[in-house]
Amino acid sequence: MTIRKRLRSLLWRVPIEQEVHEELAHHVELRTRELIDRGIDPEEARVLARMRLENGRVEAVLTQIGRQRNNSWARRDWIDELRQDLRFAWRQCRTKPGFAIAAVLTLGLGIGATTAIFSVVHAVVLKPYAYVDPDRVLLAFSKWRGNRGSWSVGNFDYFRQRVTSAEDFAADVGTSMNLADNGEPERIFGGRVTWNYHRLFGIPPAYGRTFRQEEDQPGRNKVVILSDRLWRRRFGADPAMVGRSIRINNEPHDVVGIMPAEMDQIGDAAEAWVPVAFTPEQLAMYDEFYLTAYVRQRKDVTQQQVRDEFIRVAQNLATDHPDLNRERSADVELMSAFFIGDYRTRLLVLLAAVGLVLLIACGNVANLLLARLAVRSRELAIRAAIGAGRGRIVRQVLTESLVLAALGGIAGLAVAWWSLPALIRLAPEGVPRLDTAALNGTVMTAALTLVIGSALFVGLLPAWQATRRTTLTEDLGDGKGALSGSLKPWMRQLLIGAQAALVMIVLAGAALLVRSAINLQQEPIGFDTRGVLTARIALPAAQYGEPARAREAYRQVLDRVQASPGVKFAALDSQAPLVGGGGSNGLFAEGKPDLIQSRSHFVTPGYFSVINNPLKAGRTFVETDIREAEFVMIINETLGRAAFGDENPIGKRISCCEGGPGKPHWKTVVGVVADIKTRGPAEPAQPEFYLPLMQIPDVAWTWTGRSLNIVTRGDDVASMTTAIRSSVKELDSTLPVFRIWTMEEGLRRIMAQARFNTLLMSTLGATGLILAALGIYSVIAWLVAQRTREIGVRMALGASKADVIRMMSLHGLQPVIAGLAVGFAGAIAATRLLQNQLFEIGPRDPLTLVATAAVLLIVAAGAAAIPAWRATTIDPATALRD
Amino acid sequence: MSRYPADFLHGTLDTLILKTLTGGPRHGYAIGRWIEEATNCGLELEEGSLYPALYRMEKRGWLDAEWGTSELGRRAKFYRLTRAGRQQLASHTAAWAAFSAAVNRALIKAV
Repeated sequence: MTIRKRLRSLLWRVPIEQEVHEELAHHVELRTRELIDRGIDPEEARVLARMRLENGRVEAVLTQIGRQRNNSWARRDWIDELRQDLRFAWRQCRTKPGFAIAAVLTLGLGIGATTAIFSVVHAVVLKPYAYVDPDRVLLAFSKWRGNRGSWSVGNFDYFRQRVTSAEDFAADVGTSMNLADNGEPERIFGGRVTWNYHRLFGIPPAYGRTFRQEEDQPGRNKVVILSDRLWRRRFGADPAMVGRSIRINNEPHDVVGIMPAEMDQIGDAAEAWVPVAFTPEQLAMYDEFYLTAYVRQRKDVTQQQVRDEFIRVAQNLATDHPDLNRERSADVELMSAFFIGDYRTRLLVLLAAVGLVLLIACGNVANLLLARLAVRSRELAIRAAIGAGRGRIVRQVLTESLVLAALGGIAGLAVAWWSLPALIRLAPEGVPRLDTAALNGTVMTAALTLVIGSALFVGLLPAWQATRRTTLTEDLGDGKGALSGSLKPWMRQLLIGAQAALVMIVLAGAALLVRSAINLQQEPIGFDTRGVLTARIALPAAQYGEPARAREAYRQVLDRVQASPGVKFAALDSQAPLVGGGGSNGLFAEGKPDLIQSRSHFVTPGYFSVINNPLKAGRTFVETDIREAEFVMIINETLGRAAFGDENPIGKRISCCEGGPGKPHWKTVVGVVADIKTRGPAEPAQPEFYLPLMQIPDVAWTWTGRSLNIVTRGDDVASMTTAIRSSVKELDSTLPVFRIWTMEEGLRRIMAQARFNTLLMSTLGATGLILAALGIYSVIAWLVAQRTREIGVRMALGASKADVIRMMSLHGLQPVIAGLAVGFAGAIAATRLLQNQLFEIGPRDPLTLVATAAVLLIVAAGAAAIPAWRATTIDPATALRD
Repeated sequence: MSRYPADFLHGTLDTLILKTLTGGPRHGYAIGRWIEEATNCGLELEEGSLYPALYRMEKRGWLDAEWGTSELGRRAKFYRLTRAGRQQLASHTAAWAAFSAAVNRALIKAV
């Protein structure tokens, strides 16, 4: 039946107009004869017979129906052929399972890895943020001398009263909170926010309500909104939490609302919010900058208009409060763009790299298909001879690659499903929205696109090769010759050349990241991390708001820790290296005009010996450095250079942290310590200063949120951990101890990002290299098989083994070298994207690029030499006889 | 010449055509003539009904057509029943028998 239909569609090739015309003419002829038989005049009979066709209406109707009929036949034939092609492709897979498995696995790995990375890119970069109209939500910055920064309460309030281009202008300050209810006390990260903060994002609460304006004032602000995360983790997702009271920083707060999970993806992921409730004193403070400000711009204004207005208001502010705001301006940026920030480039680079590896994989499968097509050249010639058109043969080859790609896609989904959780687990902390990465609809669509794209990439060259005019005699004439026949090797050489170019780019990127990671690893950190443990505690304002009480509490804890077994040295620091915390202050050196922004450390006397930070000049702190004594300061070398150039800083005076404009509060520099990498090896040394903890002004206890690191040195981490925990518990059993990290752990966390990218890029580079080597190997092996007889002749005529190896390897190496040249240029262009991720190495580092090319060349030579060497084992006599 | 409502004619005409072809392949003119003679009641088929019906049934796969040589010695399109056409004829005939029996019963009772 199918064959009948097929013949019909092949042979029934009369245009429909002609078909109808001919059929009706025949009909009229017979009708005329009939009428004549009945005795009607022939002329009249013809006219009568014609009349019955209604002036061409019948012909028109038939043509129309006939056209529809032909279309439906064509559709049916197309589906029949597709079914046939699919069956054929499937049979091919069944008869050559090795080929099919190799192709499907190669494509599966490529598609799977690309899909997994894409789902991360989608979650972090591409997916629109959950809040309403993300395009209208901006971050506002207070700028000082061109640097973006946070807002002071006074400045924020000044803007709040004047800005008209914003529907909502809200602020928050991230803060740690001690949460205590019935369970274990715990330290959570929360936000103190203006009342309109949640309204600005347009996400309605899942339960309860958001804040009311009247709750955003001192004394009425003992209310809290829970995040979905905290609500689930701590309160068992109980909707009845709304209306209950929980203790935050030891004060009861009424839960008024619970936000849905979408809110967790916004900003710095607060777990709970309380109203910030500025006091009149705070509202009058123009010089402490710690608020983050958010804008929902009005529908009828552009971002530029908002920015212009902010700059205008900043100019007015500078006029009204010139002391602190003379050099201040303001700026806005789309919030989503700000938070995604650097990850956009990092992840897109990764996606590009994995995409290149997928292309290399496609190259290999295309190569396999080309080789198989060579075997089938005889069959193809027959197909062409019995009338299969080019289109038909192209479709058949493409269907086959589509089947392979579809199977590869299924394997790829398995790979992605398995590797995505691993990827998320391995990834460094703090990648925004990473936990939302999933194989969702968009990712599936992307995977489908990859399947179709791969099918085209894999099938296009073979399909084109298959349609090349082959003469039947050439392909059928000689049973042996037909196996190699008309298929020329240049296509496969083109493929390995392209693969070499792609691998060069990926490998160069990986090599740069690896070298940069080595540089980071070798970068001295400035102090001895071994045996150092840190842990952080924070004293809630309710009981410890009085600085004297906080001082006393810390003194007790430190004494207990120091006396504990397993602890050799212990000290306190507001900003311990590698684990974060702390802040910075602007310093004025006596007699110098410039303000130097500098990191602050408030430390106890033993601090420098705990972390083995070498003293370069002067002395360290002593127990008698208290507020009643002389005010002293220790600075690091970078600050010394920044403040005093080549002069000896010891004995010089610096004003900071108290006093105010025109009222300097001098502290004498008594010591200089070596620079240490407080934020990890990648960051250049910054100006940093140290004050004795017992000498800091009362306001500094508020800056730090009464939160300090306990830093200990000892031999055993476990006993130090116990010492810290039990010492804190003895003081106050409701105080949580958090971030208990060794310095090594802190270092590892800081390096996590670099390590993650390096790991992924190296894996991709290695995969690409192996795939390309396999491609080169298979091409040379195929060439050797094809030219067995020729090689036999050459050897019979006296060619040496070395000649044969050289001749055959060159077939593989020539395109590889050409590809390397292209890839070298490509790498120089592409590695620029890595610039921000590199440490002490340029993106065009010549040594790296040349070494990469050399490695590639050596691997390629190896891959080509193995089958070439095998060619020398050909026995001339056998080769010639066959 | 009698006229029938179009939709009624449709189903009936289709069935008659299928019936005609049970005797073997015929061209359009022969099909028309056979129906006119077989019904024998002056049912004169218009080309504007016959040929569209043939084309439609060919499109549906009830009929197959191929070029052959007619009694005039000229190329003509011959229609033949397909398997689907045969099934269609059987079910139509059964339906028609039931329908006409019902109509007959009603008419005879009314007389």
